[in-house]
Amino acid sequence: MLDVYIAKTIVTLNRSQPDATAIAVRDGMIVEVGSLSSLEPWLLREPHVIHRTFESDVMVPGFIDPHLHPAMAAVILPMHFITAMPWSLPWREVPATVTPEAFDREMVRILAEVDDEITIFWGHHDLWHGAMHRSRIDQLSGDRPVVVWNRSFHELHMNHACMLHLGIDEVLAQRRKQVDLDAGRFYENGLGFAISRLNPFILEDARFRQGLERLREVVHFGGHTTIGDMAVGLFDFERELRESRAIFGGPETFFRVEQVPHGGVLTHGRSAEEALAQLSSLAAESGPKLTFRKRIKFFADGAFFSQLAQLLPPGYLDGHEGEWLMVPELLEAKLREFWHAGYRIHVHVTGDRAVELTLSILEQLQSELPRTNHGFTLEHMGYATPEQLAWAKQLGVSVSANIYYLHELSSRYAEMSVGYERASSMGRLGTCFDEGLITALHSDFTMAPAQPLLNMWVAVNRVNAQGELMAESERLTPAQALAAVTVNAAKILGIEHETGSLRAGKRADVTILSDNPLSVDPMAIRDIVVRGTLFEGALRLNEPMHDIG
Amino acid sequence: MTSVELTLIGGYLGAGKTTLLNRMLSQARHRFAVIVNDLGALPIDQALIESTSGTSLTLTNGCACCQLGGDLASQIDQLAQTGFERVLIEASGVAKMSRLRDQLVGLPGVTLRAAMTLIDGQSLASLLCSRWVDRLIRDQLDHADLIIATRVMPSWSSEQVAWRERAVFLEASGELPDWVWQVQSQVSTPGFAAVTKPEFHHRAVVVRRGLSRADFEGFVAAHPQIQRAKGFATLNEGHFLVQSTVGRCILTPSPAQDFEGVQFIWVGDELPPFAELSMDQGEPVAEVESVGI
Repeated sequence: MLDVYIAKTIVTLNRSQPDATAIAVRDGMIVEVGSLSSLEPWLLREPHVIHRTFESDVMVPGFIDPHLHPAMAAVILPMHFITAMPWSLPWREVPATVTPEAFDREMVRILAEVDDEITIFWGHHDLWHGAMHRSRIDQLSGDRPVVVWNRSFHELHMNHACMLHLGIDEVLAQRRKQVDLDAGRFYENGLGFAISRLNPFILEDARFRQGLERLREVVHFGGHTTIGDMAVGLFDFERELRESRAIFGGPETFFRVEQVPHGGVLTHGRSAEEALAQLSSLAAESGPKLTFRKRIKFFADGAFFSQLAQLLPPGYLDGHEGEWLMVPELLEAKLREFWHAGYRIHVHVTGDRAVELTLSILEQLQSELPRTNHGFTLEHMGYATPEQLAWAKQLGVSVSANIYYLHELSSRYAEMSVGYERASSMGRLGTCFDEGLITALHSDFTMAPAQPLLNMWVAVNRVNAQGELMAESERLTPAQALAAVTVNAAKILGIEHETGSLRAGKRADVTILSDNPLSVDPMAIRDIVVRGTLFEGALRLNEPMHDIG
Repeated sequence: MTSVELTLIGGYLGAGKTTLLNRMLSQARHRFAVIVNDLGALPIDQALIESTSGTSLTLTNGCACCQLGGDLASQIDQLAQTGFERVLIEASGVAKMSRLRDQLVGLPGVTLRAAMTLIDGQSLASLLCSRWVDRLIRDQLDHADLIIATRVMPSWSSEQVAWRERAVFLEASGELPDWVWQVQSQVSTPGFAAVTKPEFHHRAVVVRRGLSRADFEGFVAAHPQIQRAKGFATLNEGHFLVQSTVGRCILTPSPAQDFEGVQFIWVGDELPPFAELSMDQGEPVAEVESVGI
């Protein structure tokens, strides 16, 4: 039986036939894309159903987010969002909250509605919401335990009732660095202390599973048909493996999870042979929905949000230094092991100095063992110079970028971190495309919303949260941006032969949109509605629609 | 209150940290505990191990080794509560000694006995020229009470007098010299003094629609701690791009009304009274098109 779907426009990203109006699917595979008349040879021979439900909608290849963290999302998503940026969550439209007074009102409103053992709010930001303080929370909720977690995740405040509830000994806590007990503030190393007390609550099995289930809804809502878990083992390798299989392995999940293990965790305290053997058996056992392949992830420098990216001169405005997350020689040794073993390697790089190191290592590895189509990928790429991107092309490197940095941080970083020139040119995607690098976009969820249309909008417009146009010449065309969340993202994960564009022989992974991102006003791309998806031919709708067929 | 003396052992990859720890454990002159980065990498003589439990080892001489866990201060507390008065911490090769000291010095009940940075004397010159870790190595040397050279004593340059004066050479094998056990922190070591820099703060404010231009300019002028203001505001005379540097305000009419919000940068502790500028409390926040987190 063939299922034939009719649409106003089908954007295929297949050069031989860029536009179509009908797509025929059998057993999860596309048998042909074209028009009802061009499909005739199939329709004459096979029983079929023609679905016209989406004939005024637009179909594009199923969205792919090649880099997010389900385990981290599972911890954050059960929290209550109060954020300066609007967030669309499947269960709630979170409006922008931009004043201290509005933040407090929102806390009071949510507290009246919920009955959590500990009520945790996420999204507080000094820039908009003013300084947080234990007394401020105490005034709103004197007797119920409340935690206010900072948007960056590096800091939290709790009220007096929460300290009592968690049994935090004031004498013990006062002995900590980076704990301000009067303010109820726990940050940097002090945050570790607070988390160790909160862990039984935030990592509790039922809550963690609820978090993963919520992530599933977020991924559906964004219109994805594939996601990359770009560091399995971030919290606990075995547990993530077990819970991900349990939550994402079933028929109610309409996307595949491409799993890339955290190289630092996997190789810690053991030989390369042991790690490689474990990865081989994981790859052999995995599938169909959750899949390990010959892929590995390493970390070079610190977090972009924490200003710990390693920068080439002239560095940061205040003269502070970024950080390495791994000794450079050790990083080289690890990359060598996996390069020689034929792996596709992903390296977290946020600053241009880390890019320089990583490309230097790769150049050496290429001279030891030349490889093509190796999939070596720079992940995030906050800052990179034009010369580095030309060099990256020569080495066959791909880029998976978090372009949301530009939207969220460029105004602040121009003033407070690195100055205007470098802040405005973070995420040089125009250069990446001009150099011919395979370039994809990701959310690193919850670092950015998992909404490919929103990331496309940032890449196409380069307008930051304060409304400034940043490095206009680095803007992508809508077609480039669409490729960056579909076919290029498939290449980043090494699955482009299966998905990422719409043509005969590929999986029937389709995202159904209310409008065409290639022809709407570029500033309206983020307003396009995701109607639903076909995942391997199975239809899932974001909102209830009329019966199809 | 329990009291613990801490010794930090830092240094780059290959400097000899693990070797020194192993020698200290096997020649222990008193009971102490070590917290290491990678317990598996510590080649402890099997005969010395009394028991193993999870991520820690107890030795026959009363010493203990633990794997570094989530919260360092909690680990130190736990060791103190089990009766250890001395704790050694092996820092990661990429750890900045300045940051470790900052993290640990001043914890009540904890005394820093010494911060020691190991350096392979043969590789010092090349590490100081490294494209990747030159400043890290300088940080590790600048913030050490004692610099322990292994393999050879480097030939210090004239600019390195401050390091040379704190450097000692450690033989690769044999009984550890007395100073390893006796070394004490020199709080006045050069390079520790915090450099006072002006502290910048920032806040984004959605300016109340219809505020008069004169009131906005007057606000900026009245609060000289405001160094910069940049963003968009809808004032009584229209929608403006606002750019201000130290009191000088430039308002440019702007056609794009999609964005509102002005980022203020001020110096020092005195918070400008932004409530005078900001939106009425009742105004629905969802009207704001897009704002930074």
